[in-house]
Amino acid sequence: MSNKRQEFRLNNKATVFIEVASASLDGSESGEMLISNSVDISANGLQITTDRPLIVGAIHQTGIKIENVTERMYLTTQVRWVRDHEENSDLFKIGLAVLDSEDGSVISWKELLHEKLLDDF
Amino acid sequence: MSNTILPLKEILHGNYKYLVDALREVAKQDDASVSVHPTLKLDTLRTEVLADTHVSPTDFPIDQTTIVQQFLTDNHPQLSIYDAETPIALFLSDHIFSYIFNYLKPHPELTPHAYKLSLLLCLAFTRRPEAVCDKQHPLRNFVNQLLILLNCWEHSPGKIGRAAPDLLKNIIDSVATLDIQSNSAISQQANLIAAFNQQNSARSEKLEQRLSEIETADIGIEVQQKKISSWINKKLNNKPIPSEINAFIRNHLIGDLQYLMIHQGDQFPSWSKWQKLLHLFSWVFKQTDDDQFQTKLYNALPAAIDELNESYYADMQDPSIYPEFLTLITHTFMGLIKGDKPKCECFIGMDSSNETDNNVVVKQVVIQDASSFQTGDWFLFRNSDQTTLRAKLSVKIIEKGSLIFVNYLGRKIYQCSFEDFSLQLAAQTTEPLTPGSKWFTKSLHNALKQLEIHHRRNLRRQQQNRDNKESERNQAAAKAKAEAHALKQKEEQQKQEQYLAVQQRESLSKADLQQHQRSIEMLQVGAWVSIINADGEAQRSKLSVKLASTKKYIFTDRLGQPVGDYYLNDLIDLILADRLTIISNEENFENKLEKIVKGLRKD
Repeated sequence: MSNKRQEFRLNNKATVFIEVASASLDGSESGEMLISNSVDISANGLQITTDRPLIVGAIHQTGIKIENVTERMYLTTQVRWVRDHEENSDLFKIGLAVLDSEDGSVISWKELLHEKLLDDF
Repeated sequence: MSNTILPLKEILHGNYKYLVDALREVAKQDDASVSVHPTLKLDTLRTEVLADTHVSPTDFPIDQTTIVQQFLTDNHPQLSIYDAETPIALFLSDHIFSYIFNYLKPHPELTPHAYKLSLLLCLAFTRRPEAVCDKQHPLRNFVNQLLILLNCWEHSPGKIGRAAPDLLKNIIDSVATLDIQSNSAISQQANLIAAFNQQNSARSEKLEQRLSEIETADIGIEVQQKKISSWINKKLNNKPIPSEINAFIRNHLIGDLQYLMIHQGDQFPSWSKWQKLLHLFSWVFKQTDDDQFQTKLYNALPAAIDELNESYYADMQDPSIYPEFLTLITHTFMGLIKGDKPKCECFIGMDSSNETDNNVVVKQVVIQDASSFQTGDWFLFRNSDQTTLRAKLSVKIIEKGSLIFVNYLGRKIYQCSFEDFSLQLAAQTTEPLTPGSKWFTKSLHNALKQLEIHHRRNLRRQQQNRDNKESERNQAAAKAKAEAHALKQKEEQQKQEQYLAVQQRESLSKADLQQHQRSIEMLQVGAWVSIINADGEAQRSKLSVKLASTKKYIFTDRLGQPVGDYYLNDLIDLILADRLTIISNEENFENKLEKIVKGLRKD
């Protein structure tokens, strides 16, 4: 699948926490949190590398900690594409779209990206 | 070459360190890898050149293509050069040899060999760029010897004529297996051409020596002959002279006087007498009845008649024909004294063909330009059919104003006067040839200029890219801000709408409705619900998103895969229909993540 995120991207390092599965109600299955790194970020999405593929279309709660930014961002993201990593066959590249969920910090995220885009060029 | 970014002056002075730095700098900034064609490898190109593939011996515009590019266009249009992996040294050597090949214009019979060798040498210099700066380098010597040969060679029949093409063919074959890192192997090939050049040079020198001796031996005779004819021309040209006298002067007198001048010099006794008599001829036959003129005749002619005796012709080669001529003069002069008007015709100057054409005015500056050339200088003569001829100025005879040109074997092929040569230079039908030994430096100079232009172009392109990127970045920043602003506004608007809706519903006093609505709105992302579907089956799902823009609630399974999406009113309807039950209002994601992160820190 092609990368359709036609936006200016920043190569800032960010740690990305993705709740890939929540615990089952009866407690028989525990929740699962995936910790990954970003490849690039933009106002409406981010690209990450993982050691396992995610389900395209799945919606995940996502926490993002950008290097040199105190505040952690909470977003709801949807997996848009998954593909093999060009340089390492054990890894995958995942494209996540930021959804405008009422919960979370999507406005702060966009404001932060605005500042970052104007900074340090 | 002032104000260059690259240290071109230092490179031209032979400083290799500067060349290395310049190539490195250009390569660093070189982003010409825009082509989608496969990269050309040097070894591939060398193999292709050595193979019997098509070579393009035609002229090509140096500002549009190079020998390597032309070769690829002709043979491998799918290949390209000058991408990031191709050494920038190839760019430089490609341009050096493109300039050499383009301006050298070797004889058509040698052109295919010259083209092939240019390509091979271009690759050799790419592998050994130090040769660019080192005039003593074996590769430079190889090129110089080759250029000396190509610069002056002309076709000649027989074995001698075949020698140069055969030599170049053998050298190309040898280069196929040549170890380009071996100086001795390169020198061996250079020596073969040098020996050939020396052999031709020695043969040429001998022939030229003989030619010079023959041509200069005639100078004395011609000069003496010219003294007589020029003097008589000056005195009598276009003057009326009686026909018989006129004929005798032209047919006998001039030749006899020239003979005496050659053998006795300009002091021979009768010369002054003849000068006096010829001077009389220049005016006494004037067709006029003027009294003054008649008086002048009475004074001059009797004395002249008295002097006419054998002293005029005693030393002539054939004196027997002169008494009758002197008698003719005597009678004619006496007739003039009596007032006769003899039938005259204009005297036409001798050797007029050797005089400069009066219709052509050759500026002195042009003649000076021509005379500044020295014997040994080479020239390219263009014929009217556009063929060319290479010739060396071998003999320059100042006294005769004559120039003699020879080919590379020393054979005379052309002779002309200073004036004619000046005109040819001015009309550019003849042009001086740069000596073969100077071609490399001249071409290096131009190739370095091209390298500088290439580098500047790269820098400009990069600056343009940076500018474009900055512009894109600013646009993206503005877009992100606008989106954030729009979301904020929408959120506020929705809050307002919710408030109004609640107000409205409260006013309707539907307590149950309000309660259900509130319970839905209080649902946090992550909350689990049970919804009975159309088939009557209860399905557990998790609230994953409350989309701000559409006011939509999206439910997923525990792995995040969407199972349904509903608007607020849809969900209220489901509650009222007892088809939706809130099972748990899950702990929010922020708290969960905070715990995990704290756990990680402890670990």
